[in-house]
Amino acid sequence: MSIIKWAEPTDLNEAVAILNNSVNAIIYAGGTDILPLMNYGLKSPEICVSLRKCKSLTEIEFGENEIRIGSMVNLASLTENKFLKKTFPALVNAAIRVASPQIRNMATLGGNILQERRCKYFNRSKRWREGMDPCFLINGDRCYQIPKSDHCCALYYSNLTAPLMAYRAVLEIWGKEGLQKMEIEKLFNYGGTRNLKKEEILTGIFLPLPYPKTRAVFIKESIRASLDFPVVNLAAVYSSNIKKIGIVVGAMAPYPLRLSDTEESFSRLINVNTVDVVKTLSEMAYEELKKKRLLISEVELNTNQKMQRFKGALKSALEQVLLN
Amino acid sequence: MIEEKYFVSITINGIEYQENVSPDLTLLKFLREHLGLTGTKEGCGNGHCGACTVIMDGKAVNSCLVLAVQANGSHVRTIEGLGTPDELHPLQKAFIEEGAVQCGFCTPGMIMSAKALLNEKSNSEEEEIREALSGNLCRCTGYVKIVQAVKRAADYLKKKKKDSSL
Repeated sequence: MSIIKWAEPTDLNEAVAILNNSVNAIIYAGGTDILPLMNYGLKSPEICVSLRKCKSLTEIEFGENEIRIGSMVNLASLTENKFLKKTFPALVNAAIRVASPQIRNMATLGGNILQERRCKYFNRSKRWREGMDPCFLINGDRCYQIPKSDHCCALYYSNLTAPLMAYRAVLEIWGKEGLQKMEIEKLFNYGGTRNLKKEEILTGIFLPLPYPKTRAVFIKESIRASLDFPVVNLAAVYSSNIKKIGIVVGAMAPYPLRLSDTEESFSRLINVNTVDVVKTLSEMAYEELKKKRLLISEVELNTNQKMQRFKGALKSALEQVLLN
Repeated sequence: MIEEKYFVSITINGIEYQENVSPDLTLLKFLREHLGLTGTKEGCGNGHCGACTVIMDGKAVNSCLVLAVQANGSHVRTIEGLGTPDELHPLQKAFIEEGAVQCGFCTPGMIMSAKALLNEKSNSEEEEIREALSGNLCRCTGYVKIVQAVKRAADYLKKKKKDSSL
């Protein structure tokens, strides 16, 4: 691992200027994702721009209709916040299920959203990769996950992005033109690349306060209970006042997948017994997800096995938000 | 300011250390190679095993995933800062009494994770102990004795607190 230079700007404009004027600078948040990649020789930044001294990035602010969480708020702080626990339980439960206590004490919300995607080839030591040609993620010309693909098909494992999407979060981004806002779904391009310029910094996340009587759940299915990436994760948010449901699935594709057809169908299921609604929605969601062409297998788990885990998680999630 | 060498001041076990360090130096290497505090172990080096756990500003962290520059201005406690051979910390005493140590490589990390938990909640339930230790791998013991040791240490600490308040 080698980092040539370290910068700790106290001002976002200074951070943007450093990122803009450098060929190979990266934003450094908690470091729990990027440091192993540097150890593996997959990232060799010239400059690391730490955001830890930019104060507004470490605050949680409560407004009348929304809250703003700074992108440098660490995951442990999210899990300990009483208001968030009560108002955004799916987000807090997603944070609780990230890695280990040690990692949650350092890892940040922004870092979790912008974490590097993972695959069976990419996340290996340099020695392991030596005998193989580089893949798209490291400026190569192939994908080992899906050999026929013309782009990288590494999986996106973020726990927090699925609930953030289900709660309709909006990102706050600081760049050369100042502050901008972007719906979280627009962050991801087809194929998993990010809709951010090299000098743009994710500074905060806005969450609209849910309607009264909103129920939300996050479920992570993994092989090990702790310190493991999800086989599948999903968030479901149901607002009974407006009869709307949001369902977002993660760890199945290069970015989280919103099951929008199923969400829309829900509003048409009026005067139907709730148990039947769960059954019908489960079937619809399963079929909708199956039709997505982006589904990707991983080491020792094919897409069918992942779909089976999704089926169980979805049924449980729908029962929790619709029946309880 | 963009720096190639970065001046850090880190308080470790109550002693302040100041040094110009390279930005890619981890806190783990700073402890072991610069200060000779080899009680903190290097296992996987990537945050999977927890052998390198130390307490930074009251929170358990993997020192292999923290750069020394990130720890600048922090208070760090390592296993060397817990007890002495003559007067062991209640956690160290409990680990020995419960036979929670076999090869011993994971033990400093286990104890520091347990210490961070007991600092925040001295009357922790078994589930909370298991959760607090979920980032620490042990390939020898099977965890039962380790959990028992943390419970025993919690009892010692409670007794100590009670005695001191009398």
